[in-house]
Amino acid sequence: MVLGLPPNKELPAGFPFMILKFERSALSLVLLLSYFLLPQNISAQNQKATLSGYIKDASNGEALIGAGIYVEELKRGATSNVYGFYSLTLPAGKYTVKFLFLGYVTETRSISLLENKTINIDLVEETRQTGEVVITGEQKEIEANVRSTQMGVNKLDIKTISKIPPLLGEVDVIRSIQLLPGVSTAGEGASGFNVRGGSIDQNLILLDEAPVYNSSHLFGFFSVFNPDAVKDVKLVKGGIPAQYGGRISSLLDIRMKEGNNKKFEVNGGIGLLSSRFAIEGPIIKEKMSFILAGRRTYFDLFFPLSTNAGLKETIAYFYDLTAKVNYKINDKNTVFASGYFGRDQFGFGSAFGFEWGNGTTTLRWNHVYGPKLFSNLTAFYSSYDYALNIESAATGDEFKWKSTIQNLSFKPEFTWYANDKNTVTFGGQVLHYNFLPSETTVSSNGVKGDPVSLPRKYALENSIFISNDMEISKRLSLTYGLRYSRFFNIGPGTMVNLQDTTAGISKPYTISNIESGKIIADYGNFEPRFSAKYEINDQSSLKASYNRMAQYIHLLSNTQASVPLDVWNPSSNNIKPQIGDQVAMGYFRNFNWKENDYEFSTEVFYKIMQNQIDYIDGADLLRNKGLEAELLSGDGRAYGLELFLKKRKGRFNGWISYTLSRSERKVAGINKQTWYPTRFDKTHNVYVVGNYELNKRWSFSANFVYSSGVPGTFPTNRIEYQGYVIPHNSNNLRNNYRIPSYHRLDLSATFDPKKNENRKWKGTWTFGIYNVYARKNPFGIYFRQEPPTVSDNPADRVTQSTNTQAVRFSVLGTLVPSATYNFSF
Amino acid sequence: MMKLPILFLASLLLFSCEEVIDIKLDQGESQLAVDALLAVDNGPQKIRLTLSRPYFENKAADAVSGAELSLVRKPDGKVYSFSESSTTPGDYISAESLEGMPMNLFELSIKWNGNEFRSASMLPRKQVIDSLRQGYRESEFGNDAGTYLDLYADDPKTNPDYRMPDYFWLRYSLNGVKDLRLGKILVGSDASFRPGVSDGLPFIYPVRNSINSNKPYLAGDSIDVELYSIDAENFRFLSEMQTQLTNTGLFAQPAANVKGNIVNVNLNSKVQAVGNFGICQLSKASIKVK
Repeated sequence: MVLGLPPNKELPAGFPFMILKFERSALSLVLLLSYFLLPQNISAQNQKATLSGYIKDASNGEALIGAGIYVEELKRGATSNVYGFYSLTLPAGKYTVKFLFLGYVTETRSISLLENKTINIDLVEETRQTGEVVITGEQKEIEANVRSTQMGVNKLDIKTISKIPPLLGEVDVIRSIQLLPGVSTAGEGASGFNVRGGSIDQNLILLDEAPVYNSSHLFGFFSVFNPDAVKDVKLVKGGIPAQYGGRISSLLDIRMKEGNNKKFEVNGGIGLLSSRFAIEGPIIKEKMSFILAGRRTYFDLFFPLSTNAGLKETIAYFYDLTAKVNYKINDKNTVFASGYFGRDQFGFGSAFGFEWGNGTTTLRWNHVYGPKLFSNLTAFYSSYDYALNIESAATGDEFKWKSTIQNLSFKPEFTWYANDKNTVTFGGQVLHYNFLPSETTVSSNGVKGDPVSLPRKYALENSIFISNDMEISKRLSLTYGLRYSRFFNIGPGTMVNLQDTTAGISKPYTISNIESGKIIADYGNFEPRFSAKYEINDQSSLKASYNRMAQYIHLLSNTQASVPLDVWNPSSNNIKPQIGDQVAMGYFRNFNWKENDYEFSTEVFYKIMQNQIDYIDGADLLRNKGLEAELLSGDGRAYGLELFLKKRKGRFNGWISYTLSRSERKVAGINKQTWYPTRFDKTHNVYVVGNYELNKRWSFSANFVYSSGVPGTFPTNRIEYQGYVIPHNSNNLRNNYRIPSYHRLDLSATFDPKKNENRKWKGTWTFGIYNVYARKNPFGIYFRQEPPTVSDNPADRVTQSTNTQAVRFSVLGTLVPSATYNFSF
Repeated sequence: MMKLPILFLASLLLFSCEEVIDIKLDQGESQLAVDALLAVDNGPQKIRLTLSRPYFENKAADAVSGAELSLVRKPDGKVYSFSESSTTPGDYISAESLEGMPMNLFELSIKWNGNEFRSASMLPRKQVIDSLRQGYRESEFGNDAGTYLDLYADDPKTNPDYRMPDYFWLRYSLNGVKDLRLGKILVGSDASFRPGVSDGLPFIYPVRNSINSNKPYLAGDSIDVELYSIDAENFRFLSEMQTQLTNTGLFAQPAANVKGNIVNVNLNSKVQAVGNFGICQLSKASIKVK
């Protein structure tokens, strides 16, 4: 549903205050509503008491996300939140309570719970013998796979991520995500990832709550997250909780480490491509700690040594810096400050420079109002920018071009552990955008041109939400919630008025100037979220979910792989918000087979997407003031089946994932307005990931990837024009062919010399081979006229050809070996 | 155009490769293909009509004979007639040189096989090549040392009488043969590649340098440069053609048909023509390498 003011309607005075007022009154309404929504046994609480506190890692004080609390007498459990906080309301009494986390020694406490009690727990990591970890019955009892109402969720901890065979030695978060069911990529080296048939801009990537706009270094080959600073990665593909919104396909929630609050620790690595260094430790023991992690590629440092004059001046590197400080003021208050800054730089002496990067700063305050009410207040600033400079002082030539997007946001969130059956989450967000689409200056042959800028665009995205986790019976649980989001594209700015509505052509337009504070576009959406779980027995459950998501900003990209130059654009009078509706159903099961522990899940999903953006043929998306006239709007749909089998523990562990899916678009003006597959549609995706620990010194990992080829538009005919041969599809079809399938095997081996167990310095070697059998996986197939030849023979300098050919382009045509030395002390 | 440095860097840093492969394509209907880029004040002009044919059928295109062509200049209604060449079927030659003023509209009509196709193009104002200069350059950026050329031209500043950007297509021939290297297609606007940022400036360096390859010219080479001033629609057609002909790599755009401006008068007819018609002003310059 869209609630909208007519375009260009003036807002009352004190515009920002009105928004805040709107938020505040909405919040109190939410509080009131939640009271009535809850079952009325709240009043019968006098015989009940609440156990709450934080669960942390004993060795470094890091909060444990999703740790379990299990009450033996009642056979009931709960899990800790992303800050390690838990709260459990029980009838007053004496209990044996177990605190557990996979890979950690279970802590058992006898607790006499006659009144509310706060118990903070530090769990000790199991000392690995041969990697054999026993999964206890209690652990299974609280396991998310079967027990949680959430579905479409995949979690990867950094230990798992770092075992996956790397490309050029770089442990990579996004590359790991691409091995999960429902996730794929447009091709080798393509930036970002596609979730359940959605495009790359439909993923909300949050680093400590702040959005990251470009997750790629080096045009897409590596992701921007430094593995040394990452603690936990969670991908949510469906049944997305009400507290998240703004992108219609997925949520990638990346949490940074807090920093060891017990002792100093240094981690680092020297690889083929980059070197990493991270230091963490207490500032005030057990109260305040920090982590500082950096990495930089260094192959460019060797360029000046080269005898090749061209290489000598080449600039090519990326770096990133991650820093975080947290301060536990007391049991009730903890504050966090975290920052990320990353940059890619390419260039050629002073003649050419191209750079881009993200920056985020997050401030958070965790406050425990009481054993039942936990809150987190987040304020963040996030930015992405790029700049291109071409300069020649000798000839008086210059070209400068830059673009930025900036965000400022405030986000309060509350979790109310209302009673033993209900947990209510509610809150809101105010999000301000400032876009600079482009700013250009040109000088030519000593003559300076006037600077040309496209006007800045401003927007405000506000939302409120409430959600309840409700246990109806031991077997049946529900999570239901509602989010309301409202988007304003506000002046000062310009409004593009299209003069024609014919599909598929670049439309004529006029531009009107909009004054400060006036509205260019206003959209509102109710976004219901629902998921349910029914436990068939202790080992298996059925789940179903529905979610509606609204997306107000869009990455305009009309290339096979997204380019760093692609520009984010807000919804406007012409660009409608994207709306995504998804239903999913799944079966989840944990089982033992031959004394091994397995986790299995299968899900089917169907997704309908409205207002999907496509482009007229030959669309001009950069530095174009009439950009909106080049866009087309259509429908999207995606559906599929996912299978996932994971062997979690033991010397041999890993997973197999299979996805069968389809992702399609229907756009007026393309493919005769019939459904066509998206450019990242892959019918089959098979991922196999295996790790084997041979002995204390050697361990091995392998992964295998198979995916069907992506579609491409192939010509039928040739047209001759002025000596050139132009490919032409006379049937006017889009994506009428499939390029050959993609498959690849990667291997890695890790060697731990273990010279002296008591030595502080610990070093390991990782050797890897990417694309072991050197398959030339096609990225695309292109059609061209045979290039003419130019010879030095004066009589016959140029020979033309009008012959045509098909060319297969492979991004990596070879195997890529790597070696990395990792250390810690 | 900004794609080029990115492609260069991406390929520099990685292990990409290209291979010519065999592939079987769908069948498509053969269509009338129009090749009509006509310059005013340049003697009799030629329009070539052929049939499009299967993409990999590597032989000379089938000529379309027996079509009736006429070109009308608006607003005065002057008619130019075209007749088919007796020696080269499919070539239609105008009886006289075309003339016109900027903003004159030229309408083309082609009657063939019971269908009538139409198109129109507006004569833009003229951008003029100022000079060509030759000089010795040291080896740099992977180019060999030797003689290279520079082209100089100034973009006329947009004025209130002529509110649209200037668009051009720059081509050159080496010893009488057009350089058709795909990477050498240069379609531009104002003094650079795209409209709006370089109005009224001297042509920017990449344009001035565009009549070179990475090999120097040899003594005795003669180079003829043609600067076509074209209208916005032709700029779009040629830009799309350039994109589709050089479309490769990580950041390739989706393959798409290059949209021409020839339409069947009967809009509902299934018979459609491809190709393009444009009326242009032509500025020429030549140089002989010493």
